Amino acid sequence: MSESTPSTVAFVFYVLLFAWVGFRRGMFRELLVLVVSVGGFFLLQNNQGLALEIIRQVLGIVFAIVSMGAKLLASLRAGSTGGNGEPVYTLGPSDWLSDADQPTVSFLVWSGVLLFTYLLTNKAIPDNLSSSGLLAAMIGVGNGLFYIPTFAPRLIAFIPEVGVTSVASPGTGVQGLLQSVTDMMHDGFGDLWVALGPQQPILAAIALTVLLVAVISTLRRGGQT
Amino acid sequence: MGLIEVYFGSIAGIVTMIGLAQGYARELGRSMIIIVAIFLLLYVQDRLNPILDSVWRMVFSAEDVGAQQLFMSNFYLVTFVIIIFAGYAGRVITFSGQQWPMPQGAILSCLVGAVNGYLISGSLWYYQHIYGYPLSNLGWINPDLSPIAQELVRYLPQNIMPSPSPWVIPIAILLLMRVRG
Repeated sequence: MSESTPSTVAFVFYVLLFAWVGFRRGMFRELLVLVVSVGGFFLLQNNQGLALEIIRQVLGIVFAIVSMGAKLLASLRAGSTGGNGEPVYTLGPSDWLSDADQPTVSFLVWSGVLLFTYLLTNKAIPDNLSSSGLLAAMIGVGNGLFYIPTFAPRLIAFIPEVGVTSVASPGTGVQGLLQSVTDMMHDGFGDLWVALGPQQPILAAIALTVLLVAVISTLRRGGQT
Repeated sequence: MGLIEVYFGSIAGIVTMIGLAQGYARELGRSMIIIVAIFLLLYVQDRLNPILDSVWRMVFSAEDVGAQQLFMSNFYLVTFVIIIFAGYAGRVITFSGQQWPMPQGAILSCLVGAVNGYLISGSLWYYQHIYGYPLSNLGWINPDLSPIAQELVRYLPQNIMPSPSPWVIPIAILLLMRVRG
């Protein structure tokens, strides 16, 4: 048993978990999540200032409402509706979020959108529109693979240093992410591929067959194309 | 001359686009043709190479290794392309049923088209690779492989499944599914 066996087993479990999630949720739901997660990530990576500006605007509205409410309350307590002109609440969104927070805000926005998409697709898409099957499981795996380079480097702070040796840094921008995805797939599948040894050709043939059979199984009865 | 991975990647991209335009119900039949072509060429390769070698020596009786490699490579390239062309231009085995509507149908068409693109461009690349990129003598491709190309060569279809036997598995299963209806 090689040193990479535990990481290979962990990787296989991770893939199986997301395959199961994909199978349960169905293809259409998982596809929407994939589009939102990948598209949203690239969009926010390239427009980090935009995410920050949107959050500032939203917070600005919230702060304005709170400020107006506080002024109104203070005026009512003082027995006058006009107020004395002094703002009761002066802290603005720019005080909370500086330009240096752009990456953090982008990541938080992306995480929020992703969570919202998972919840929304669960509620809004009926089961009969999101069929379960091999393809759904495969898209689920695709989602899971995308989350590794996006979440794992940020979670590393919560993991004790002992035993952790090879989590890549998040990298910068789209290129950094693509490099992380490539490295991760090479590490995960590469170890798995080497571990398969002489069975590689047969398993590749089976994988190709399963993929084609999964696609054929989506052809509906009752028509000829 | 551009990078070789761009050259073959473009071929794969074009085949993927054809798959998207044609729909995956048709593309699946073509996948079968492509897999059969790969199987046949792998199966006859070891048996045919000595014959081709003899033919070359008989006709040209020269020791020009480069030209001989070009001849061998082109023989397999042309044979493979003829089979694939027949698959795309003629009738193929079709699977009964209606394909999924948009957008899932388009995604599946893209997926099957991409598989076909990988198999076709990967096979064309393979027959260049094993004969030392003889088309570079004509100035058509750049024989200097980039690090990415060197990595990709390991994952060409015939390098992943070098023996013809594993290719029988998808052919047999797809035929069984077709017979089942």
